[in-house]
Amino acid sequence: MTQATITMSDLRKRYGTTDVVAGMTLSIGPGVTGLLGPNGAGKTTLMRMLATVLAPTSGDLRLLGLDPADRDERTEMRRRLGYMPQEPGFHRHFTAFEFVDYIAILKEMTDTRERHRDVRRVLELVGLGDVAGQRIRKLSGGMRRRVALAQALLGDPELLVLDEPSAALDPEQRMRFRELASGLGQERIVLVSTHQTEDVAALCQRVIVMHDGRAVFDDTPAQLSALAHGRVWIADQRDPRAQLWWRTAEGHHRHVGDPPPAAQLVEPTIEDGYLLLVGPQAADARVAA
Amino acid sequence: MSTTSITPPPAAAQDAGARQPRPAAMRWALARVEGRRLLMHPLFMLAMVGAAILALGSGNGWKANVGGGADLMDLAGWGFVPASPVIFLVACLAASRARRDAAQDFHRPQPLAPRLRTQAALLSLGWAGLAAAALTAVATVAIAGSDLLLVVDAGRYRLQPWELAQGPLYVVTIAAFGVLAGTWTSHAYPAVIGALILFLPPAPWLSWIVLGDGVPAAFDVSQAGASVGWHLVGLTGLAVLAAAGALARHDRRARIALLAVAGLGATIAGLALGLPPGGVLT
Repeated sequence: MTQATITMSDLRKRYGTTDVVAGMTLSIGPGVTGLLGPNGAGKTTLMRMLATVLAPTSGDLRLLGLDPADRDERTEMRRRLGYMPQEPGFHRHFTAFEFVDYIAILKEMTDTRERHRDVRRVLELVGLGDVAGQRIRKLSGGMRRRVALAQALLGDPELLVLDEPSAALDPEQRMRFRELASGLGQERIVLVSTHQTEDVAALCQRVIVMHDGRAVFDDTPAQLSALAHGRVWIADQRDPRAQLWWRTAEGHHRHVGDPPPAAQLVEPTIEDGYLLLVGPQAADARVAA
Repeated sequence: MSTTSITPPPAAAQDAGARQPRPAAMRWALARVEGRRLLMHPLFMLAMVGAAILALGSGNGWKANVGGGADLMDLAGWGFVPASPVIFLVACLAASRARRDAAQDFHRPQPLAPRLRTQAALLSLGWAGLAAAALTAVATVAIAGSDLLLVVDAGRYRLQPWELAQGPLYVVTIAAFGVLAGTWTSHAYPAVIGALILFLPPAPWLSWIVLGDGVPAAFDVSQAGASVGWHLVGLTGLAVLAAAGALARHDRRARIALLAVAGLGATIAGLALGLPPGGVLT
């Protein structure tokens, strides 16, 4: 029986002289795990390695107990994997049904009747049943994202690697996605890369923050919020000592950083904790450390 | 997205991890899809309509049918020549689709081996060959009648099935070169340029590819078809050579090299033995 986990040890991916993923050591089990990080942090590179699209430069990687460096084990792994790429190209002349059906064949589903049934199921699941016959070039950006999500769900995979699945979705569709992903995460490993801290708060049991190719945080969303406990305050005027600030809709200035004495502290969010971890001054602090 | 709870997948999907891979079944499933897309491609349909008009045009005075020779040439394959750049292009576009559309991230993490995809692309050319065979059959019956007797100045000439096989085989060969080009390129424009250079007259090799030494002989019906057998061998060799080149993209096993050698041998044999002594390719 295979181990239902992802394990990686000192995993690296190097392009030229740059380590895009610079020694990740993690173990991820069933449930929804969020991967946060700024642009260029190495999230997509890591996701592509987990999806067996990219080979690591060095380090050890096991997916569901299988070694993707071994050809046979990689093929077996791919049978149990669903991957939604970040910005894929589509076969724009295909209809949504034809495209997902094509991917289903590549997933080794050869029985036409069973395959079509599963294609209809996943298209219904992402709310595209009504537009299954429309060509992809005529679908909106959000609908295309859902086509990409649908193909990842084919065959009910044990491991789902979803790279920015809620990007380009409208608020209602994001809610639907959360409902879908949380249901899937009850029995499977669902790894979600996102910029949406609200999605992480609503969906993930665990959050990993990446920066410069490394994991700089690995805990629960509540703990990520707690990083900013006592470090978020509001004031009527902008405080120059704050690392970050913005003007709220109520006309106050919301600050993140080291508060002055007697500051009016407020409850932090995941975003506050995240900004403290990866914001510009946080980077300076890490270099100094 | 659906508001309903997550529905269980079909039994076959649930057994995904336990499925035994069946390469032949996967190859055919993909070949059926690719074949259907090839036949339904607007450019391919246009090419077939063009070939039909060319073949059937003599009855309407659309072509100079000197001594019945043009009919014979068209039915023996020449009728597909104007369509060949398009056939090449459509096959090339299909084979390069994943890279042209930047959709590799959908394809790469799938268990189906890339070599099976190339094999399926080559198998799908059978649909193009069948379409060409059907068109040839209809044109033959329309022009020569069901007894396959062609009336020419020199008398009556009975068409041989081997002669009629040249056209469909030519279509498959051209398409195989399209798959070869598409397997190794990522853009459409080299295919367009290549198609025009390779398959539009007056390319010097075009005559032999289409009709072997039957081109000059077509006007002397007593010699027509004399070396059709060797021409078919040569055409098959070319198709096999192109297929081996395409397969080599993802499959470096010795059997592919053997396939290439066999294709090259058949091509050389067809070329050498299909030509009359001192024959020329014009």
